[in-house]
Amino acid sequence: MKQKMSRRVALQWMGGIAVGVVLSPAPYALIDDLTVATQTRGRSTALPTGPLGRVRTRCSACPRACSIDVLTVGRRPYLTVPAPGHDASCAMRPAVHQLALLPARIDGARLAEGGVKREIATERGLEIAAQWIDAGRVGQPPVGLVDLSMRPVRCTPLHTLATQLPASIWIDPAPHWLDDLGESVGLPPDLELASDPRFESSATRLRVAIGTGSAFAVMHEPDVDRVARQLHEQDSAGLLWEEDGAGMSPGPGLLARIAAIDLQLDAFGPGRLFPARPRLDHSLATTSRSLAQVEDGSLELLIVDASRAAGSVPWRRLRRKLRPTSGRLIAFGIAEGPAARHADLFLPAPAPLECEEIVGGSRHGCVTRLAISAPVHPRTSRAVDAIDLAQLVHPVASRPRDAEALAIELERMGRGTLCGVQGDESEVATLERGSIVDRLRAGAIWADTVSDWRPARDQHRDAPPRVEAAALRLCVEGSGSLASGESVPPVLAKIALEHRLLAGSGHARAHPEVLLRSRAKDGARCRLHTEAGVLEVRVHADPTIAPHQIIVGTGLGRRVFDPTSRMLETLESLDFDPRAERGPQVHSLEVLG
Amino acid sequence: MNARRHTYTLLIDLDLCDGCGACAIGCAIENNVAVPPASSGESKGIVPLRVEHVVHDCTGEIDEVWIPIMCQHCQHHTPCVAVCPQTAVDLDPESGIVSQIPDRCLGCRYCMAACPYHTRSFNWWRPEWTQSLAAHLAPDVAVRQRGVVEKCNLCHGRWQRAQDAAAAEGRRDLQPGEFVPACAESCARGAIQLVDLLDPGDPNFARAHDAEAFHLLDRLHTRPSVTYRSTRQWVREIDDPRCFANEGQVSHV
Repeated sequence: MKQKMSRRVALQWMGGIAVGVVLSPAPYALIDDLTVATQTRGRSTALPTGPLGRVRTRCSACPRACSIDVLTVGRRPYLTVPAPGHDASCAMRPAVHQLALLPARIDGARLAEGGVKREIATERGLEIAAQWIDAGRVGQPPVGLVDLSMRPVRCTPLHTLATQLPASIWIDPAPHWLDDLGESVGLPPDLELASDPRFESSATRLRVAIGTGSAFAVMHEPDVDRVARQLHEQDSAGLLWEEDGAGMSPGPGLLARIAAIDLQLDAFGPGRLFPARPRLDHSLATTSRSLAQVEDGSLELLIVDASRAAGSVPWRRLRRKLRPTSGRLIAFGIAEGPAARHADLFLPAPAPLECEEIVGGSRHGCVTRLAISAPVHPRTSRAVDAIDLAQLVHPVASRPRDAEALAIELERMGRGTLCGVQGDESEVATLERGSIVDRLRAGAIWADTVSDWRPARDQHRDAPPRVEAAALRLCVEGSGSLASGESVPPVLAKIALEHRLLAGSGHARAHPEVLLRSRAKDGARCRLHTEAGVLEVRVHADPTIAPHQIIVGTGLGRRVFDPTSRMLETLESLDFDPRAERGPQVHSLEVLG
Repeated sequence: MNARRHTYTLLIDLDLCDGCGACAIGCAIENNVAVPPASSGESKGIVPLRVEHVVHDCTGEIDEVWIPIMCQHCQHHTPCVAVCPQTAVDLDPESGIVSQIPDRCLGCRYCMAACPYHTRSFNWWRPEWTQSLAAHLAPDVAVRQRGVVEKCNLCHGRWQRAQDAAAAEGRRDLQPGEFVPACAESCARGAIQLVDLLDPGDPNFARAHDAEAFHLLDRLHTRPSVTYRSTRQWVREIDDPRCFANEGQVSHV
């Protein structure tokens, strides 16, 4: 049967199709798809897939070793967040995750001449800066320093943050971290620094009040060395630096000494000096007030440390402080950004995480090499910049180094001053009296001993560790109280590389002398009787371990004997928090079988 | 019409915030915000969350505060929703979240002009990561294409994930703590917390409604849901232009 289609029916069909097409979502989806396709030429970024996880671990961005949770996709981490109940953390924690991958890093100095910026060698930039400082030192008005880095980690919009993240050096987890840290490492109210017999000339017994760094502001090189050794001997040692004694943030001189002692500690283990930050409430406000008090157009030279992770630098206001025609602005910075644009001379600053090799990669190495010129030892402080300058500005000056001079200065310190090193200078004085020169001169105390340090440090490294009657303690790998150079694992870097690297060793490690005393062979299975319980584990000899410590590995979750760890042979009845900075004392080491 | 069941938003205690910036970084990482090229400049980056630094010396005593600012998720006559020709911006009646649908966005940037908080960013560049970083992107947030506007969507991916988990357990409502935006989770000091403004049982409900709570630019009557808190009066009046008549007292951090 033949079906006829009238014109009316055909029109109805066509109309229905048209209405259907218009009302259906198909055309809109097509438009959307075309929009996406035209806007996203090339391939789209594929997101990682896999089960979501949360790994409890420690942050290795600083010796504070905050407890953090790492959010993972499959075996790959993508975000770090503070562990619940552990509020001591900072912006460096998430930032370090992407640290090695940030673009726009400037690894050379830049000099603005005639409105045109050109790249120059870092060493040449430092020379120019030194010349300007020398010229400004004798000129009127004097050279001024604006240190806007009193707050360690500050926030910026992301685009600024992205280019300045690696600059952060100081970690300030929380305002009460000094107290926490002091308690966690079990510091006594006074830390007695007895003289080390290896340094016969250092007979002074020094008592340092915890919470003040003023004593070390007057410390000379032999004492630095001695203190470093002393800290090494005391497994709980740690020095807390509060302020410079004048209520202000540590200046370059003090920072230089911190760096010095840190450097020495690095010879034995992780640096344990923590330059504390000023209290949270008035620091930047004080600087702002100081800036406001400086007359516009009155300064010849300004040096601005803009190298912290993120910071608000009022560049236009700073510009107004400089003389319109001859005023110059030197800025330390990390990458492209306001600092590089505004400075007459831009100097690249090192990133501490790079210095400490927490983040690896060729870019890191390149930056480190370029940002830090000789000497080649690791530097952990932004004071290195000031020290580099100090070396150039001021020739090495001879100064007393003996204990007598130290005692004199300590006496002066007792009168409430800082022996002229930091003095009672305020930031206002810094700006108005040009005390940068004094500070740099103070920094030169450290600088002129660089050559002396190397043999001293090598000597410490080569010297056989002494096994003394110090209490043997069980320490957890990754704990901040360890004295081993490998005791603070770069956790984040590791997880960024391979998750499995987080797993601790499958055995305990101890110094050979400890095994010798206990008549245990390398790799013997031992029963450790500790004040927190009993642990059975295989113990291997490791000469890098401090002689008063036995180190046990931890698992993926940073819990001792985590089921996911590789310590499958371990039996334990221990009851202690592996995150505690001080491990339980080991009463005896019994060899099994 | 569905009755509003939730108004999820952020409760930010400005007295606790020390401006560490972890929230901004956490937000960027969670939402797969690509690092802009070096040529981006200061005005062309993607900033879902920024922290403003305000130095105050009206009374002769210098004080300062850091204010995390993200999309305020306006609940009434939402300016960006009203101007979008593509309905690419939407006030979710279920959660009270003002969401952005990048696939619909034309890139006209009307919403950027309309937003009184300047919390929207235009994506000028095709997002690119190094190969090693691309392997560590967050799993739940699709990468937005070039030419669209971006904003804080209160970690919508996390909200969806939490809802899926609750649905798998046969629940419709989320329990406290199941949905936490990245900025709140990153805040080490607990200054940023999630709150449901419609749930009196929410642990932060009372704090979000007491006398110390305030909203930015409340006088615009857009009813921003993001709630700030401070014990300091000048902070609560921080959006009053009379308080900052002099130049240089507000600096962007």
